[in-house]
Amino acid sequence: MIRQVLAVLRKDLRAEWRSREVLITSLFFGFTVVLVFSFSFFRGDAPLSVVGAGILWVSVAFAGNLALSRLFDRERVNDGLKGLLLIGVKPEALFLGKLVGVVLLMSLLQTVVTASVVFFFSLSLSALRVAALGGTLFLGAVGYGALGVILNALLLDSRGRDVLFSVVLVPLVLPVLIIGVKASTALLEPELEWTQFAAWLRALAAFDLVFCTAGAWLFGPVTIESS
Amino acid sequence: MKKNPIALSLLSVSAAAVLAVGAWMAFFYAAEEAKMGFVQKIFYFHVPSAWMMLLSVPLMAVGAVGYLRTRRPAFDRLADSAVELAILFGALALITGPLWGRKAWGVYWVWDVRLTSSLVLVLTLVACKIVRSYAGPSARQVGAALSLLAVLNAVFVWVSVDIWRGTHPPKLVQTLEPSMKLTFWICVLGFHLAYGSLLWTRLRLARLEDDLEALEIERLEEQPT
Repeated sequence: MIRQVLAVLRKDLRAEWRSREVLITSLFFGFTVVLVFSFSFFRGDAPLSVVGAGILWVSVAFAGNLALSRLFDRERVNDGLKGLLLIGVKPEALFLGKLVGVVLLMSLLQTVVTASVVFFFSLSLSALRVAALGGTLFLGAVGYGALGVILNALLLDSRGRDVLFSVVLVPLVLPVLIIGVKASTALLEPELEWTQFAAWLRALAAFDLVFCTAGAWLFGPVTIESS
Repeated sequence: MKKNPIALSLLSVSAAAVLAVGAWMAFFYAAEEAKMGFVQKIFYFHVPSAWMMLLSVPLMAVGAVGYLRTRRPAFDRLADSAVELAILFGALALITGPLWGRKAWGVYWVWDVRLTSSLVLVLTLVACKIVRSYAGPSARQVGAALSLLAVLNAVFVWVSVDIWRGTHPPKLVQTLEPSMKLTFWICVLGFHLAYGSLLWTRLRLARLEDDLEALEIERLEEQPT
């Protein structure tokens, strides 16, 4: 099982590394979204730092959407997914392998977006808070990625895949975005309430657990039927 | 076409009658609430709508899981009908809620847990219907899986209630004045009857659609190409 997960991951990373198309486009897009936001929220000369957390998550969500909508493109052409399932890769392993790849990609994306937000909105954070923010973003990436992978698999052979993907992804990840924004806003406050923050983090972890389980369960029925 | 079963007609007629009585009672019989005044009457329609939306959730879950496991079209029809009714009653609850909230809280919308979970549920279900109608050959499967995800999502938001600050009034049905309580339960009954009648009608429609499609395919196969 773990071998299969790693094999799927290695295949995806290698393919991505050779072209880097998803990585470069989504990183650049994430950066430009932050840029657009930074001049949309001006008060006087400086951008408003209170909106920082919201902008961070919205930018990540936009850029993530771009990155995820192409997730199964390599499997779709030439029936690659059917091939993978035929050589005995378990659907759950395929799901997890894809998920780990997505989380890696999202983490890179989040690093770039966070750095841009810190730069444009001139935020200052202590090392501890940066680590906490990193943890929050990571949990967010897992939930976002789990939904992204399963929705991609679902819509694999639907017409108008890209549009439909965005239409369903946004309402489904709404809880991740709301909780993420709340937790990050708490982190950017001068007086930080750790218990409140921990409660948000727990909610995010619970979301991840629910949707990783649901995703792994759904992945089998959904892909085997359609391929 | 087969005529409506008598039971269905009876159900529809009684739903209409009970709802009419409920509406009359809400406006002319029930006592006017001291603080909220006339606006409080929204309560008689808002709460039952929200309950009907929640009633759809287990039906959806059963239909979706059943379809994904057995691939029987009947399960899919149940899930799809429940999705549509949840959107209908959810929209009613989401329209009446802000009207009430404006008077009670001074704003139309707050990010309270119940409001958020209802909104998330209705949005995901609308997305689910959109995708379903454009998805093409895998529409049933996509619809079932998405409605399952929508259910999980709503349940998740609902469960995370304890860390959210809630401004939505908690269970206050027990504390109602007798005339208000009676009116409320009549409205609830009316909404249940209406739900049953709508669900039944929608299931029949879905069945007829499936039959029609099967007939078309049959006919096309008969024709020499």
